[in-house]
Amino acid sequence: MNVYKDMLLKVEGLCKYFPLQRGFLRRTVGYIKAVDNLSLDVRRGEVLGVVGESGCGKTTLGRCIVRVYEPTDGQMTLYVDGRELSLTELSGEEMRLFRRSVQMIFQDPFASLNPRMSILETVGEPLLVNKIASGRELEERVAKVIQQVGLRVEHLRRYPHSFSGGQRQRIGIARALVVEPKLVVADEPVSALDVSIQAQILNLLKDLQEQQNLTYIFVSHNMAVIRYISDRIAVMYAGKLVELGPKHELLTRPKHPYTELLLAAVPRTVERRRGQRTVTPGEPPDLAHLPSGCVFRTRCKYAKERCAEEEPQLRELETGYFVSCHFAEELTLSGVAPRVQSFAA
Amino acid sequence: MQTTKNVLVEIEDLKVEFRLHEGTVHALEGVSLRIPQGRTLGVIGESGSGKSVTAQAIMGIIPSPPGKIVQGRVRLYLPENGSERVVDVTELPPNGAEIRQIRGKEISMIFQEPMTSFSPVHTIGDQIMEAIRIHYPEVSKKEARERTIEMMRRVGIPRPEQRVDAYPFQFSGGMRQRAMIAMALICHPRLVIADEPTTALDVTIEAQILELLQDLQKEFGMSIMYISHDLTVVGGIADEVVVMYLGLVMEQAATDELFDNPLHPYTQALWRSIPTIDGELERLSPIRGALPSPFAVHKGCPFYSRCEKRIPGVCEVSRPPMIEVRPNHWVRCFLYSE
Repeated sequence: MNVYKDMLLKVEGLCKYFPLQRGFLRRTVGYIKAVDNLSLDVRRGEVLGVVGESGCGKTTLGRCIVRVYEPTDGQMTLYVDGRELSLTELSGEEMRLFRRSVQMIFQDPFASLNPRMSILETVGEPLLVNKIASGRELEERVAKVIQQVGLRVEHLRRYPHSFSGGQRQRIGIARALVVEPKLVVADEPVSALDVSIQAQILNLLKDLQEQQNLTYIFVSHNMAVIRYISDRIAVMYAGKLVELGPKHELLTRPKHPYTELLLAAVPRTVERRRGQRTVTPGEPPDLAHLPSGCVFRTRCKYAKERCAEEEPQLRELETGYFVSCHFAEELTLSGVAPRVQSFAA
Repeated sequence: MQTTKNVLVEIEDLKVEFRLHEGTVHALEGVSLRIPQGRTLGVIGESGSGKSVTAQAIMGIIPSPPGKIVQGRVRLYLPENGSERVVDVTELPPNGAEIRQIRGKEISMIFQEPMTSFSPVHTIGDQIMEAIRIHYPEVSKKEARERTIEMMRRVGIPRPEQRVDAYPFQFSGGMRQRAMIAMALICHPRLVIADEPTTALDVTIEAQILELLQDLQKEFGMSIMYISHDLTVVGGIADEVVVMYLGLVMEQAATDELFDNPLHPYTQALWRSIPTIDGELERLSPIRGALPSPFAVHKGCPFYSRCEKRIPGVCEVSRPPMIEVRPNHWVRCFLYSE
């Protein structure tokens, strides 16, 4: 099978370092390694969930992919329209194709919409900027997408202030989808919404993905949301990808001690009374002063000498299952009790 | 409602309004609840449910104007020299000596955002020991500092002898939240109100903070009012839960009972709408519609516009009363009236 046929994005050795500056002259005294040597593939039509705690680099990863940030190092290749786009060296024409192919949905629906622009202007802007459509055609495309996200055509002349949080997030989704992208990076798209609204937006994202065969990189700190929306899950810790695999396997039989710790901390609903939530001391390391060897070893209850001496590399444990832990084969880790994982669509 | 003895706080038919330029927000529309001694009451609600205003009413810190307590009582039952002193917070002047003697000493609060709740220009230690200096002027500065260090150690701050002189910006989010807990507990209050104390924290740190609160409750015996929008978190810490929606208590029961047998259509809908880590992976059933405008006036049930089980001609006409459907399980819904 041709690997490129179902691959949409290939990320290789991605690094994003932020300089740490001190003093009057803003001297660079070190670097924050927000994303460090990260490699992963995104397949066409899948939802890749990226999960981790604050400071793990999941947002930085998303922003590098949509080219909000210039990566410090590494390669990203996008396979669209039968072409290979190297995202770090896009020509003007390629940049337009890239902007049509990759879009982003933001967390805060109150901050991400311009209050002085009507919904028609907000959602239509990407079409105008990328010279995809204008005038009558633009209005038609905006009207179509606004209905797809569950709003009405008469909303188009209104301004963001007259919409609720859930509706604003629908507007943000419409703006991302109006250019008919292939890949959508969604960064915590439901975290700012009220509980009763989250499910509406999650279902909408899922329906749109299935109808339009979209590919999502879905970034969230919320493991339950990630479990609901994703096909595969990538777990990040202190700028590193520590584990990547199919959802069911990763949740029920994690291979990296950090994934085990993270899953154990998530509050249970079904097994609530049995005290399934376990507490581990410690917190994520200071990104400016990372420990030697494995970044997780300071919190890892399985850590051995080798973990301090040698940094584990991400390796393919089984086909399609990646872990960066020296002892992944030996450890038997516990995850979430297995359940029916199939979707009643 | 219940005939529980050993009640610490009793709120009775509390109505609070905020009179703004745009209109009047009916933040609480007749809230009644009790906080038992030494136990944890969880309060679940979305934005606009009135959960934080309820907490402010107990503390006597409803901003006024624009806020106004229109009716109702907030009684504190404070044991004192073998007998019991009853204080009605709604009757006390908001900045009078009596309520200031209660705030920080008998009742304290843990807020969501520890960064904005600390002063950036004072050391963590000075801010924690401020309550001792105010409420126990006879305690020497040295003694207050020692108690502060001891409490910081107790809440799990490493090297408290040094960290007592650190400033808030030198603490991580989890450590700041621990410092806030130390500040809340330094005078051994009878009630700690925790308003979304872990919402800004990572899940592994959240688990640590919740465990810490439970350990401290066992040790000091205080009551906890735990306010959150997150059902799963509340389910893990509370003995009893109230579910609020638009200024009313919709359902109240012991935690297990409420999670196993939710009766109110709102509670049931909420349960079905959240993704879980260990439940069946089926399609979520969202609650239809959106939260009504905060200025809207509801003659009947405030959930009427979004309810799947509403009875037209009944539910929107008058407000359903609280009904005890099962022992100690109260629901505000006409489905359960005979």
